[in-house]
Amino acid sequence: MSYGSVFLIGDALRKSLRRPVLPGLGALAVAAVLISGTALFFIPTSSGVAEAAREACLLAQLAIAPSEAAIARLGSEAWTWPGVDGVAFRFPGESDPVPITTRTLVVRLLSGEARAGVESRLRALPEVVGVQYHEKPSRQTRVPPASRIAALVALLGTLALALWLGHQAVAQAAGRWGRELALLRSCGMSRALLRAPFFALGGTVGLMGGGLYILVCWALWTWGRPIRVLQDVIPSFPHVWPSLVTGGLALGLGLGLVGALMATFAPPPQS
Amino acid sequence: MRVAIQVSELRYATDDGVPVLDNLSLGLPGDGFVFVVGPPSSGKTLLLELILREKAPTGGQILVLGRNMARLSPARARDLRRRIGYIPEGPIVLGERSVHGNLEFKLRALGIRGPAAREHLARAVELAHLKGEARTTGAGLDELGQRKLVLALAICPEPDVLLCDDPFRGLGEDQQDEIVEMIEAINRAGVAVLATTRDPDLPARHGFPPRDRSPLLRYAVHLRPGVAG
Repeated sequence: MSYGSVFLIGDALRKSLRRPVLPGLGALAVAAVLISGTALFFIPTSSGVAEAAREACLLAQLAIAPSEAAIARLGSEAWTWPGVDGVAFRFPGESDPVPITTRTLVVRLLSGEARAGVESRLRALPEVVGVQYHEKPSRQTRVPPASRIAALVALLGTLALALWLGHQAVAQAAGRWGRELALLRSCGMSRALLRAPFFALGGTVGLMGGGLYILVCWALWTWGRPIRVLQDVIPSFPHVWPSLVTGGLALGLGLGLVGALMATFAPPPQS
Repeated sequence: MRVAIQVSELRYATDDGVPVLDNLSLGLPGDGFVFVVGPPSSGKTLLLELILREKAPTGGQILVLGRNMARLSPARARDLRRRIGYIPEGPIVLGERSVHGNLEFKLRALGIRGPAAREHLARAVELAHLKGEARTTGAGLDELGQRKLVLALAICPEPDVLLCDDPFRGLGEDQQDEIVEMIEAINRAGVAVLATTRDPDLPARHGFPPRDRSPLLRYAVHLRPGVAG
């Protein structure tokens, strides 16, 4: 990237961020999109009330050797198997769903029929020293049944809001930088170079949103576990932590760039 | 002497087929200063836009510094464009920045900094008679000061050709004369100048005899005395 482009990007960003309300709201909206998307992804698909009278899970006792990172990888892998509804990790001393004496992966099954397939795969893992099947009467899920619909509505609403706010933030910046744009156009600068600062602004807003999202996830993991409604969601975070971080930043950046794209292809502002 | 701009049989018609320019030909020598005089809406700005390749002509040819703009790749056209200083019709200055800030903004956007930038800046400020106004903001300058700043921006960094789209419009006679004198000084420093104006008396006041008149185009082209065109 040439010095001229870097200078223009820096100049436009400095001038735009002097009025941080719209970019800030845009970043909040991007974070809200990512949070509602995460909620939609993590909320269990089975209601656990009407269909299943009993809740089935496999307790995989782990050897001493595997590190916490290795256990997280193991949990992520098991989560992708057919018939698995969710995976959680339990330390000795915990009592959900049974009193735990060794480090244990609790693999929640979608139904009792999935037991054989999942159990044989668990037993084949060198880190697993024993597998125990457990079934208990189903209780009402801690996540209200309408949560997925609410998360979907929130996702669509915040997505529209994030794109609109991103568009508005870039359009406002183009307005504030209007005379600079006119001057640069009169010097024969290429359209791509003139658009670069606004893509940088959109990307910055998106990355700020991604950063906020990661902060919220970390805060939920640190302080949100006692909250009853979150207990089905938060235990999964350690298994997907790298994906949360990279996905949050990448999706945030993408959303910011799409907002900027919409604004820069709109008719140019008149200074 | 190299020809700075050669316009040959240039034609331009609107989308509705209305001819605006029809078989316009004119030449600007490398050390020349040409006035193109025409009434409002006669296509003066259009002529400059065609030279800058911001619009495509319906027919004819334009050579700028020996290159046919229409046949250049976008990258080469941009390189050539940077050798042309342009004063657009409306004065574009950055009101919140100082005179130096305006010039620095353009130079840095073009990737010029350090001693080279300082040299260009000092030369532009001197030629545009802005020496005492270096720290004044663009908005703080009067009408004439803003025109001078636009002129300084156009000649910064040093172009080979300067295109001026009626920078005299709305100014008093004394102010117009001061701008013409500055442009003449820039021309004497080796920059070819093509300026448009709607005021037919302005070139005559500065000793530019009419050289060509095309009744269809309503243009009078004036060339600086003593220059072979």
